[in-house]
Amino acid sequence: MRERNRIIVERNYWSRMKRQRLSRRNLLRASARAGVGAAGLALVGCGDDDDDQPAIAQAQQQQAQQQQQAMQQEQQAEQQAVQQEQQEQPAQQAEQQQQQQQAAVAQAQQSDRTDSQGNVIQTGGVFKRAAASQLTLIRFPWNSAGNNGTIDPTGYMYNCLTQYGGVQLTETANRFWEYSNPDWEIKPDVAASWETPDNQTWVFNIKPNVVFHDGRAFVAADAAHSYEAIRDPGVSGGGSPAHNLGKVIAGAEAIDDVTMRLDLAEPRGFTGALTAYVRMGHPETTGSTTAPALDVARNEEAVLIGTGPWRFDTDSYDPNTGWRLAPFSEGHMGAPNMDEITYTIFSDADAIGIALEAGDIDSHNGIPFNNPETIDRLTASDEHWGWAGTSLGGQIFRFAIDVEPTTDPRARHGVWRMVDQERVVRDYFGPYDDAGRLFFQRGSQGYLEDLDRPNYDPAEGAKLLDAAGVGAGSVLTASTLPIRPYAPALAQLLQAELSTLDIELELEPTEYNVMIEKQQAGDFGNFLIGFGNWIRPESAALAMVMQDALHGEGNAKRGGDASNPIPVRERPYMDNYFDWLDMIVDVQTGNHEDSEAYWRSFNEKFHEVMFAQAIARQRGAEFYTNRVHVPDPGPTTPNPQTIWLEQT
Amino acid sequence: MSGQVTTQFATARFGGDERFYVLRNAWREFRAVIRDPRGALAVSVLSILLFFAFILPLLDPTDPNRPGSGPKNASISWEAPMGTDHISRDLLARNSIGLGRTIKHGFAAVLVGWLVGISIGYIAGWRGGRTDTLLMRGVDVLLAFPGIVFAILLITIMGSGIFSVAVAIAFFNIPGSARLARAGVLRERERDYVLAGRCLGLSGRRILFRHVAPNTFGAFTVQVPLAIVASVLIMAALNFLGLGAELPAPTLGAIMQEGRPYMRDAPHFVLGPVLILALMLTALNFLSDVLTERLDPVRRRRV
Amino acid sequence: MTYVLRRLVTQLIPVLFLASILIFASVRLIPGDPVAGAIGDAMGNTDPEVYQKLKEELGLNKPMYEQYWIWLGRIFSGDFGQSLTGLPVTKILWNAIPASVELAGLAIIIGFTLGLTMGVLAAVNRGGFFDWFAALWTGWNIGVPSFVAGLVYLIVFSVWLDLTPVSGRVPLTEDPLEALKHLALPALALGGIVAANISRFTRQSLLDTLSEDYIRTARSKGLSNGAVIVRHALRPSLIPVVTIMGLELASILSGTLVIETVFTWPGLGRALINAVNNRDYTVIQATTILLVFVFVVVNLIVDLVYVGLDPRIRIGQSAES
Repeated sequence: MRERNRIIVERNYWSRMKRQRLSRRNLLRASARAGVGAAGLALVGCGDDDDDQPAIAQAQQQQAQQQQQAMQQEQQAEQQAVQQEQQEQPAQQAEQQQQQQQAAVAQAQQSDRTDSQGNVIQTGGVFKRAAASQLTLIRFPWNSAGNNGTIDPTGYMYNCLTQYGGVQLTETANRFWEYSNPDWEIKPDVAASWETPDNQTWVFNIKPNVVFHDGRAFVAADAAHSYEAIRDPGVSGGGSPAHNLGKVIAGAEAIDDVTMRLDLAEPRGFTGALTAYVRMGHPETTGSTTAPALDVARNEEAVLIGTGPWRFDTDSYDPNTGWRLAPFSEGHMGAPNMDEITYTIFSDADAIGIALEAGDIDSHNGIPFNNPETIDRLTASDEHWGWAGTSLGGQIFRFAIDVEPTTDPRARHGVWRMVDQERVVRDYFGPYDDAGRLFFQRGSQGYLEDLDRPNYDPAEGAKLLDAAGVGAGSVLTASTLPIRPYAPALAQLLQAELSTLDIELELEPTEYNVMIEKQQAGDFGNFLIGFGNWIRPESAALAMVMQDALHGEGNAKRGGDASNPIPVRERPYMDNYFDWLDMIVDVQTGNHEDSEAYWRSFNEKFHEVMFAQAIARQRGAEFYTNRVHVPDPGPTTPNPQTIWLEQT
Repeated sequence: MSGQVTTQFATARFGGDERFYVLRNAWREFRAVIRDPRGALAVSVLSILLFFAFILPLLDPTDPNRPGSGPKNASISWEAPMGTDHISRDLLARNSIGLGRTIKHGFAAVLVGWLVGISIGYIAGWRGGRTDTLLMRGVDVLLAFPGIVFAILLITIMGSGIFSVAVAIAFFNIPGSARLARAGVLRERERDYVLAGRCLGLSGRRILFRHVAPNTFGAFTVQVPLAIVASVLIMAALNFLGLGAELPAPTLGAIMQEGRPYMRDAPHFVLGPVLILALMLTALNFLSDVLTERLDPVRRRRV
Repeated sequence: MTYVLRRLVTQLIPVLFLASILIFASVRLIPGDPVAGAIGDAMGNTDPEVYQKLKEELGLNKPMYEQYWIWLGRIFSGDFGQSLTGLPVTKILWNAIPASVELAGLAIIIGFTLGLTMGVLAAVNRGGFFDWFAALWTGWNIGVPSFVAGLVYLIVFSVWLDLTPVSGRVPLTEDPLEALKHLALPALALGGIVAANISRFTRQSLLDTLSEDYIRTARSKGLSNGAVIVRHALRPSLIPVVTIMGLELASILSGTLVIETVFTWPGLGRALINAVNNRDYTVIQATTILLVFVFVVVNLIVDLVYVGLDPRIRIGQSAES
């Protein structure tokens, strides 16, 4: 089992996302194919990311088992695609596949509607997905923290001004990262085009055919309203990623029905995160810009209305059951293939695994199993196929940087040295960890291989803790997310390590929604376990770091006192932090040199400040039953608009 | 239930050495119980479990909370007779400590609950009148809550933790024991020996505690094992729901909860505590059955 | 009838009243700002004016006893407040109640029929196959907690044998067959222990009755074994069983809490556990008060049935004990 940890994964960050067949054999072979392009799978609601949508390089492949006729067609086409990219196919197999492929194409030609691989696209059917927790309808959609995103995992209920690739993603400062892959270009969504004279004033041209789910035409004023809404802490929820993103906005204004002007407080390069992350909400039904916003109970008219191809069925929502999405064919994105998407809320990832295996649901909606055995079983199963790829996010062990004693970087370092990352990765992530625990991801310009290593060193940790004044008899507290097996496990491992130093680690099991609350309020103990941000280029988590750097906000509010945030620079013990923050600002404003020495210094400083760091960077694994077909997704995630189902 | 209790368990006696006769009677009763094969089985299983919970940790130096360095979820082996868990801790040590904690907290909670409940029942039954109505109405309120719901409410207020669970279980045990004690007192109050005691000029308290109370014990001996069963189950259920566990210290329910995600890959993880719990619950049920028969002369005759 | 009224006035109403105070107070005892909690604003970002307005709207500026009366009044008018999820609690309850009723109902049917059948067969066939089967069933259900049994059923019946779905619910009114498939496992897990207890008790009670003198008389009259059991032994043996059934009804209510979580069954238990996990206090209040109400009413009905069955119980006596 252990050798799977040595899978050679194509590490290039954006440019070499691979198309990978998710089978045991291929995992072992670690076949990596270049050039397919990055694929993003928005795993919002997959639970681990509290505020952001991790993108995952994807590829899809069916199990090479004999299936029903329709299945065979798809498989053959799949294999063809694989074959083209992957030169290691045995010759005889290739020959066989060629025949199958011809048969498939022949059959596909008879059909009216086929995908790019020649599969017959069927329409209709119910797509059954799983969700991990309840939705919080209050302040939806603008406070999109946490599993609120589950409702709209790929952004097809609410649209944004722009999209990344095929998916809406977020981006803070593209100068941090150079995307060589064209698929990660910003694409229009409800905005047709945009321009800026000075990087501070942005003018967006809104598509004229965008329609809200209630039939009203979407106009520029609605977009402006959405931007004003996220600036209002009462609407978006202070501390939420959306709100933090919005802090750079000086104002948003509709010039006419199809033109919106966005004024920033300071010049920025392309504001990808703002345009691909902020959802366009319906002003009349989602409350005013003064708090409280969407309040379904007090406001009978309040319903979730977006512009995407899927419409939220408010009546269907039950926090103990789930909800459904109905197709919306009048929108600018056209009609989806399926009749309905249903979401069932499960109590834990394990229950979802069993339901998926038993055929109760079609997909687990990206909820990570955090249990290599479950993933192994699903991978080996003939009934399922999965997307997998290099995750760009990570599981974070998050420190509260303004709570004693973690204000002292040495204390954070010390605790960090006590975490046996390799063990955690081996036992709870298995082959689905894509190592790389730096702030910068592999393939990005700031990445340095030799700095990217586990830090487990209890002796050093003891020294650091001692130096920070965390001696025998001290008590640290951590909030852990109980539904993920690795979180309590990791917490207990750490507890045992710390107990050898006579330091007590108190654990506070905290459920998902409460975690979100804690994190947004900055009101947690010394750290959070099992609940962190996916820190990656486009992430809103990173946006929070940036806002922290620039404005001293984000993670810095204590005791829920939002009116009095402690700017980072005024916090005690933060000397080491400042240099790094300055560097972040430099990088963000383009005022940096692109040399190895520079990035080394940046990364080393990151290690010093130890704000947050990934323990494991989980590769995305999203499983589907064989009933689900995705016409050549290319670089994008399988999205519910194009997915089609085998009729049963 | 209580109607079947006769005074054979503790005959009212005046004079002689009153202090030990309850103990002597208990010993006699115990010998009678172990003469019944089910009783003997129950007693031996419970003894083994007590050994497992309290003596074994003294003999086995393995730290139940210390993660091992081996592979996780290792199956049953000579080194780890019950396997290891998801952070490679020895499950034998964990189960034994877990059972110990379950017994300690569960029994302590049951004990406190019964003491409080019995006191309420005695006072209510002996005093009668308004005191009775008031106390029993309070008991009815507790009885109005399904056991686990009350526990959950209490945990919501007090916060998660084994102490909250223990308090909840103590409360859970109050109504049953109070009603049982009150029924016993009400029945005994009208007996002649009480009148005789009064004639002899004994104080009410003395009659209640020295003479009436021992005659109500018989019903308790049947119900206590069942109360323990119910309490242990509630404790396990709460821990299984993730309420009331304090990591890393184990309880049987907490081990089951930790093992749940691995039920298919490492069944030994969950089955260990389940087996222990099953043994304990079955033994307690047997014990209760045997005691019921002992206290029921009709059935005793037939057996 | 007077007995019913008397029970209502002297017991049911005061008990419910006291329990409601307890539930109301318990949520107020929890630290934290109820206004912020009510609108899901942990940050305290709400506009002070809006905050004040909300506080008044929620009645939180009034003294505690007045708040209690308002709360109670709202409950009587069917307004349980608003959940943190943004939905009215009434809606959540309204969705959860049928699910719980279906589950509890089937569990009761399974538990009672299986329990009585097994108990009678075991007693009649003492030492035979049915006796052993009943003993095994009892051992399994009494020794293994229902939530573990539920997990085992899931893996065996749903995953390995693929006979039933693992989760979710189809309303009985929509598709009875599919609904029963979904219901089968949780109801079995829940009803199994009920069946075990009832069969144990029925067996014992029937055996007791069969050793009575009048049964011997009936036998000596030349009646067949079956006739003796059906005509003479069964009815008197079942009277004590009814008490146990009442107790089991109550235990099913408790049992749903855990079983619903294991089977992702969208009933009241799951609503309560979810609410506890998410600290959704209005839902906790509403679910507990509803469960308490049902529990108390069920207990009352059981008592009444018991009185009806056994005329020997004098009203005065039963009010006393």
